[in-house]
Amino acid sequence: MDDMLAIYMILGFMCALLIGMPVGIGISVAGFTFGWMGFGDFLFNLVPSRIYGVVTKYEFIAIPLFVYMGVMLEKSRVAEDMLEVIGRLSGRMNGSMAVALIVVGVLMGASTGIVGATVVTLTMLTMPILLKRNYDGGLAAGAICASGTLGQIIPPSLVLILLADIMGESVGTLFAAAMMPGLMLAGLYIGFILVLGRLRPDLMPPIPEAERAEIRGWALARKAVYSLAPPLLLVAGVLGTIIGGIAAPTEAAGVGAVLSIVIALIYGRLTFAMIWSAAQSALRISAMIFFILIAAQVFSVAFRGLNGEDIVQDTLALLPGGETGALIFLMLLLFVLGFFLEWIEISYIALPLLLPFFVASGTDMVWLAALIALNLQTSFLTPPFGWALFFLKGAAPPLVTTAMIYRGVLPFIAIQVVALVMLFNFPAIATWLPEAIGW
Amino acid sequence: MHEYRNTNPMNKALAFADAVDRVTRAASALASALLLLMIALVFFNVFGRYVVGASPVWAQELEWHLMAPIALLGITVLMLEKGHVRVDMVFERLPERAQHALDLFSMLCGAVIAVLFIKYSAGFVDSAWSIREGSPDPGGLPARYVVKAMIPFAFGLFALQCLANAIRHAAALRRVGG
Repeated sequence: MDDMLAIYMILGFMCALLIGMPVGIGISVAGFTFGWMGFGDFLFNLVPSRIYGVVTKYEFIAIPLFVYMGVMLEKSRVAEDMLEVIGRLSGRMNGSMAVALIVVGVLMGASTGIVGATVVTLTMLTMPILLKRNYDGGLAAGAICASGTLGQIIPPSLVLILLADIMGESVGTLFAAAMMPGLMLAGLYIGFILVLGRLRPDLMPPIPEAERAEIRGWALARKAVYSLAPPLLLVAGVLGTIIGGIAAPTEAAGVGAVLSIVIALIYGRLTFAMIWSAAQSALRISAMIFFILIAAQVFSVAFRGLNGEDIVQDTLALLPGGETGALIFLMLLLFVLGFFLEWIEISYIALPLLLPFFVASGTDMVWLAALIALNLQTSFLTPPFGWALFFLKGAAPPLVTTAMIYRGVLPFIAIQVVALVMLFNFPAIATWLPEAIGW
Repeated sequence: MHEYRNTNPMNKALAFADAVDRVTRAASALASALLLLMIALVFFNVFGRYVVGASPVWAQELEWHLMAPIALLGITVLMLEKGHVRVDMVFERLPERAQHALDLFSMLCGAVIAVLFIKYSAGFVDSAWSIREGSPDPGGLPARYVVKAMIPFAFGLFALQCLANAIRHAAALRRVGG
């Protein structure tokens, strides 16, 4: 009975969430309750130092900074103008704004490496204007969650750097390995949007003909340069310095936040009230992310204390089917764990337990790493517990309902599954590039 | 009327909740100001590193010394503004009474959790405080123990805000219940 407590704890957390407890409170309550039942309270003395670790972590400083940048670009209507112009430039084509959103989302996720910050910033930037332009809320939500989480596995991602460390591969090799699957997914998303645009044009209407007629030719070109250049330079500059390895994400985020204020100034829209209200919004949205990161510490301490890891290992030993069976189990396990734990914890807690088995059976580590990364990404956007969905809900206008978000991500999850199956059956998708360039 | 206000326990409790809200709003303004300060500081450090060639150790440490109060005070503000995230598939279909009852329960849980965080952080904070722990690096900031002490302090505020919310839900429950 006792050794099943870790499982009951997960079920308890699910129940707390389903009845609608705030996520941060529900995850702590489950952790404390089942932790006490299992091991009393001595291990919980570890929680404060973990909380301290979360709120002082240098990489996490990027969260409020990126959020501030996003809020500022939204409040000064810079983001709105940008998507609007893309919509106008695309003429009668359906879904162009959603495609633009996916490209930005992937770039942004790749450079920030933080699921929460990417999804929240994207939501602030794009959701209001997409809704105003009569895009379907669910479709917008799905595209935001999918591209925001995809960025996590496109190089240079923190996930891959950590995985390289844990699996004993070089960072360069894993970057190369994730490149093809990542780009393949981005292509699939865009293809899906374009096909859906043909089948269901009502979900993503183009800007009406009459309105597009107002501004054409050179006037439109000038407007395009005027509205696109500053924000694109900002995004390209911020992301470029991170991807180029020049600046750490936190540094680039700080510069991006300041530049977002400068851009509002250039457009003549900056007010002191705007600077202040952006700070207040950024505070609330960052706190939403931090609350979950902090509260999850209780849960992960309890999960370790209840020997959740041993349960996992024992199950693995009993499994039929050799390598393939174990791989499938690993995929399912990571998928489920991804609901409850941050990928950092999964990588450092769950993976080391399972890896020896795969090393012994001669599994290709590069391929395995790509599978793991893809899998974690999928679990972040799967209802009802995917982190990306919570973050999106918190940042979106109230009329975007939970049901709408769930419906919207479903097709993207289907795309994920297709990609996973492809990668599973054709390891070359991941292993080809590292071999070709000799990394 | 005045007499009545002072003797009715629910009104007293609501006055308490109002007072807590005011404190949290002050904390919200403080944390927002710190956030702006942190943006300026990170920018300053980048400027120092890439243009001047170096930025002082204390300025780098100050970045996360600011992050801690921002994040910790932020979660209390989150409670005040009901900005926390939840799965509302079931919740939004519940009758109003049940929603208030559930929120009342959640907020009481929140208060209990906060008290537990304070309890468990006693040793952690104490050991830092007793040696007046500072930065181990030369040129670093001297008062790391204050940052650590932010944890119990902030969760104290968090507990109060959860109680204030609980009081409002209890009041609403009585109102809706007739």
